[in-house]
Amino acid sequence: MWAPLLLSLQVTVAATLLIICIGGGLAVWLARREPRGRALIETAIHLPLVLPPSVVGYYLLIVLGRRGPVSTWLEWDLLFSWPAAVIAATVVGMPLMFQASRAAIASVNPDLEQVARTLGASELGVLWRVTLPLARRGVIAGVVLSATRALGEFGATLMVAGNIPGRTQTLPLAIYDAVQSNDTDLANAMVLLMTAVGFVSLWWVRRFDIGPRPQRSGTPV
Amino acid sequence: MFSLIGRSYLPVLAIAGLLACSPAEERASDPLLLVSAASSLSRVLQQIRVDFETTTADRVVFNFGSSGSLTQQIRHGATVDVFASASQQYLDELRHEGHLADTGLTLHGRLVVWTPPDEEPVATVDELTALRFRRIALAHTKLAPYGRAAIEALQSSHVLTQVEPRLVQAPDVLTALRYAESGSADAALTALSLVGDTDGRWYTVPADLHLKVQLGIAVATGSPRAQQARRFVDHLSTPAAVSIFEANGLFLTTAQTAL
Repeated sequence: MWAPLLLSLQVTVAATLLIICIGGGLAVWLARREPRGRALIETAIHLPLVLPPSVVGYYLLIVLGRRGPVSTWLEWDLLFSWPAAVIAATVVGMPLMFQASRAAIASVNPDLEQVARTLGASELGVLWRVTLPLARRGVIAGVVLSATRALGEFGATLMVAGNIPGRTQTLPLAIYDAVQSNDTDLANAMVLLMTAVGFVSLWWVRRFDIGPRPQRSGTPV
Repeated sequence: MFSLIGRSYLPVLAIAGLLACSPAEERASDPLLLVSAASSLSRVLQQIRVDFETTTADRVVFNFGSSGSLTQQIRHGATVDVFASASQQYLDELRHEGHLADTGLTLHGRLVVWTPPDEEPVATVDELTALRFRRIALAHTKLAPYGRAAIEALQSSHVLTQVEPRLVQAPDVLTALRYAESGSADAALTALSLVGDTDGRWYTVPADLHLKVQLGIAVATGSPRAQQARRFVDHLSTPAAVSIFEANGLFLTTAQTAL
């Protein structure tokens, strides 16, 4: 039970960092700007939310497989390695981060950002000292939700990382194995653990979604 | 603004780089033999692994999944040493595509009618027409070999039309058994190799009522540990391994050894 748990934590931390960078970056970019094809980009980012894991897994298998771009251009052989699990978790977790933080950033009053600019703040300074602090509720909710989704990723991981004990067997896969082999005690323990983690994270996210907003919030009512 | 986006991607590249470095190195020095195997074979293969590892210095690790997705993984270049498929058909396809070597063996399984402990067991397939069997679970009748065999057995017993409305199709043979074990179904047409440690009772369907359910195990051509892989597959046809297979309801049909 501990090896899969540790691997799950490793995969979740790596995936969450990627999600924050890529999902957060895309959210910052698309919250204020209307680049050509924005609707298309946003729809593509959200797609893993509605596609069955088998479809996401199949796409990733093609992308990461021997004839795929990752293998032929970058010469990275990622199938059946833990980074493949990280990529699967990142792809399925990303929409939650993007959705929550994009909405939060878009709801920050642009006047406040403009004020900071007139006072000489750089674009990065505005983002870091004005926009993100005001949007933090949504951003944190996005991080927690996507990290929890990454932790629970199963279907796509099974396809690209396999189910190899000690190497790519994350907690959800270990649960699947325990259920398949009728190891009820182990399955129950891990199921309780996953449920507790999911419950606590959703409970915690509530604090950011509802409840009193801080005084200095610049969000338009 | 562009510079901002550029900067926020820097850590991504750094992490991606870090992630990419580790696995290749790990794998080159990895002595573990990787066997992709159908979930339905997990019990018997775990037992054989114990026996195998006492006789050699080789160490085995399993990647259990459905034969269909394991086939897809191998087809897309996943590095495995040995593939144990619950369906001979997948094995033939991969062999035809050059992913599997000829070295390997073929086993066949037996179909059983499994009934829960509180249910009167059957002694023929015909008895499934009895009204007490309101739901009868079986594996996928097109994709799963045992599902196909179940339909054939019902057909050759001339009870298929009578029983058909009561059939409940599960994705695989293990799930079919779980349906009956949990009481969702009153009986299951499942594999002898799965029922060994269950509480219920079972009737082994005569082999002449259906086509042989063939399973296959073969060495992968892309195996970086081909020698150990052949050693493992050869071990599977030794008397010790064959008796473990037989105790688990699987019988050796043919073996193509490397020696």
